[in-house]
Amino acid sequence: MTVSQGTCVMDLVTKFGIPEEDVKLIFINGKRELLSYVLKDNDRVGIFPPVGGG
Amino acid sequence: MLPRYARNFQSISLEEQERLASARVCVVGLGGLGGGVVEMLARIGVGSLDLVDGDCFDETNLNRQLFSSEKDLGVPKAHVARKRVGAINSTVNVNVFNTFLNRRNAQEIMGHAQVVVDCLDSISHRFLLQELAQTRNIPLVSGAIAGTAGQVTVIYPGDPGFKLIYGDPYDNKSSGIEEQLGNLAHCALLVASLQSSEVIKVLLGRGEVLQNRLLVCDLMTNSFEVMQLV
Repeated sequence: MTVSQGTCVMDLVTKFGIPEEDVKLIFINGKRELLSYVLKDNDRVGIFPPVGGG
Repeated sequence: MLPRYARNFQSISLEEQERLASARVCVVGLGGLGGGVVEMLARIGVGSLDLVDGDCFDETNLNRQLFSSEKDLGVPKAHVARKRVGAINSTVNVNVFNTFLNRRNAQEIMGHAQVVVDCLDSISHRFLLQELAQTRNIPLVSGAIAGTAGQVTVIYPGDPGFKLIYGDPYDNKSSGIEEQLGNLAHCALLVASLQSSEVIKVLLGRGEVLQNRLLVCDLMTNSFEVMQLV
């Protein structure tokens, strides 16, 4: 997807309507990052909820 | 070497098989993940198992928990686990604890283990288990599931561990997304296999261990990825 320059992961979370407390883990290109991470060209973004079952 | 281990060779050498026989592993939680992990560690030949769960089997366990059966509903999971390990491999020394791990009983339960396996089903208890393992300098192999998704990591003493996965321990619900997605047999046993594999690698000092990394998988899309946590 295309986003405007300066978009951070938090902006994506808001855009998709994901409750912030459900976002526990963010990976950009396979590496853990924070909600404040500003997206760059061709970044692959993974937003994960908490998984705790056994 | 016993014929029962003949098919372990040569993926596992004789020396490594002996190392497994002298190893001691504590499995915390004997449900969907724990049942699978105990079954596999007993079969591969881990010599001593300390098994902990204060719960009894109920009907909602039957969809995924390997040690649950209709005849054992209401029976403590720890007691069924002991019986099962005895039936699989009578050479394994089994200690069972029909109780929940806490700060008071932790030393007695997990103090002798070389590896602790986190097969719990609550995020807050995972944080406690990590603290109890780290203060005792014991590596922790953790697995978690929700629906068709699973994750596995290995936490050594001094590692940041769960706070990188679940955030602030005090800002967490006790359960994750599994409350909505449930837990499935094939996903539980897959993650139990991955945990067992990490336990064996840690014990043998071989292969790539998931330290400071998180293997995440989703069976619906067949995606498996190892993410860097630090």
